[in-house]
Amino acid sequence: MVGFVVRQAIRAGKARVYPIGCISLGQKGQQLAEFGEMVGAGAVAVSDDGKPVVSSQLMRTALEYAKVFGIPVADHCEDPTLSLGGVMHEGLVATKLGLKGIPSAAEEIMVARDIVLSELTGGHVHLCHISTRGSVEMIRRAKQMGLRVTAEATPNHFSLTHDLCLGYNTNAKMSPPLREPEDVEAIRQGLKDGTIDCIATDHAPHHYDAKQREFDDAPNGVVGLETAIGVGVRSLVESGHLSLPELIARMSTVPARVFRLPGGTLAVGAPADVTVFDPTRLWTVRAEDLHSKSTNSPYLGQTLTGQADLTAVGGRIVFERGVQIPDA
Amino acid sequence: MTSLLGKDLIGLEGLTADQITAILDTAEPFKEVSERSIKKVPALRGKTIVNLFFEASTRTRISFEFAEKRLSADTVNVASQGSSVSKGETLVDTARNLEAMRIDMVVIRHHSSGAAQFLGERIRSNVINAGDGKHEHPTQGLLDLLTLRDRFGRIKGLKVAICGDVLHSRVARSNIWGLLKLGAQVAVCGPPTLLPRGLESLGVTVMHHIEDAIGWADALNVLRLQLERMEGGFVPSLREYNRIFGVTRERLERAPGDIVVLHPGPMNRGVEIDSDVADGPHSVILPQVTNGVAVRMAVLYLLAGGAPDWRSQAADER
Repeated sequence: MVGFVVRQAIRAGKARVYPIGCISLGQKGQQLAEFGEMVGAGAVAVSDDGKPVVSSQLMRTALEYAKVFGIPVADHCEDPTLSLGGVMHEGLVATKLGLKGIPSAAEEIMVARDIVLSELTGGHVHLCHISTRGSVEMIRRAKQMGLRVTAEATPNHFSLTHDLCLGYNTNAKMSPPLREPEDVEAIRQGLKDGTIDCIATDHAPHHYDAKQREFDDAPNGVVGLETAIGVGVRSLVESGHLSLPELIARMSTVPARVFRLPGGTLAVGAPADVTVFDPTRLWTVRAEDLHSKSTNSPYLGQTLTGQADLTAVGGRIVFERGVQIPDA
Repeated sequence: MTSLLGKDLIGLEGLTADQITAILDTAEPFKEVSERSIKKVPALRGKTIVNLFFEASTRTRISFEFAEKRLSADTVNVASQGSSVSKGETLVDTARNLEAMRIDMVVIRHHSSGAAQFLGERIRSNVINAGDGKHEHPTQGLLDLLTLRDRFGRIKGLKVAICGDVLHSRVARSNIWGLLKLGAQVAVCGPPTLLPRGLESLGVTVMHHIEDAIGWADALNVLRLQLERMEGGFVPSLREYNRIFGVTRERLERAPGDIVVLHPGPMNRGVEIDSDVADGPHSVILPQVTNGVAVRMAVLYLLAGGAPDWRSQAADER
């Protein structure tokens, strides 16, 4: 499977794809998957993403075993017994809408556990799409203790709050859910001081029909690839939290370091994987302008700052604004 | 024709105090229609209404149906069982098909919060929320307000405690919005496992002891404890719930003043409310049901574009 993904990506030639293998067979959370086979085929990390690793014993084993291959174990932090049936952040907005909430504690309990297990095993745990101020604080302390803990956040969680769910907006439904202004601010601070290492889009396209339904029944997830730079500049640089070079680092060099990838730098001899963007351009997100087949963006109608104009992979231009270069 | 209430009635959160008062005032004369031997006025003659019930309901559905018939509307009932809904039709498609049949109004009951708004945004017909998930049940909130106003002559300044499973209750949410907008003091009372977060920030007092609520309130609105809440682990047993949180005669007798008890039904006698309370002098449970028809007539009539004083319009038609 990992090898298939890598070969497909090479055939498409539009981007370098570094697959993340499963932690458990079939992501069932029971038996350890074959890390060695997957790393051999090109996997750069393991994760049961989308699902948390519920068993602490499995997480411990994964962290220990992954050390052999020098790969991080990435976890989607969610205590499923606390989040069961929840469709948005637990708080006043959920109360008003009559929707079942997911408390911040559902994430924080697993963040705490993973940090403790990282200490126990010395393994590298990477905490995916962090969404709460409590998580940021725990990760900050773990780093101060010198543990091998890294973390990422999505543009959604450093720019949007649970208010966006008002009106039953299914493009605001995601996992983890959008939370409160204090959480957004904590994530911005975490990105500033390095508590949160990377910005990850958690790009999740869904068919138009899937989101055109009752909030309870709509799937989690939003597209984020095309808006990542615009949201980053607007919500981190213009807000005064990060400098432009810091934003770029959180989207390129730092993630490359965390996952031990080539590239992410403009150094001589490094792969010429480059995005050229205009950091000052104001643009309004419109469904019809998105290149993605899916338009489930929480930013529809919003004005962002900064937009990519050109993408090169291995020195070859694969995208120019307005014109997509045909397949080679 | 733009009505006083806008196109749809989704919840009381979206209404102003004046709009709510207008509905209650409009309901007053409709009460009398149900007391006549010929219970019919021509206010909605020629209008077609679909009662779309995705969730089982007896009281609300019948109440709406009587309201519609007493206003001379043509009505069709659709239940999710045995309809295209049970064959997997989406709510969007259901909405479009209704639209294509050129109906005037849809009364919707649905198990998902937001379903009524979802429908209202997609069709031109008026949509009336008859209960959407845990969100709102506005006509229940309105009939509770009307019953309180009948009894006390006012809402402003009244102390109302909403008791029980507020977390899962659309009735509670509609009551909270309606009461707050009309200037009542609102408390919720129940075990913390059944109270939603953040209500204090709306100005609602939170209590955990039923004795405190009884000592404080002019009126108790006692919510139904759904039996499946035991399986969800929200309360340990019905027996304990009745013992700790039940509205019993002994507890009511210790109330400092006259206290009124409402219940949206269906009741679990011996759980959240004892029979001698439900059937006793404090209870206004049956007047609530009577008022339900009048309030629903008022809502249907106003959404159809009727003037708040329907008698003058009826006179014009003659």
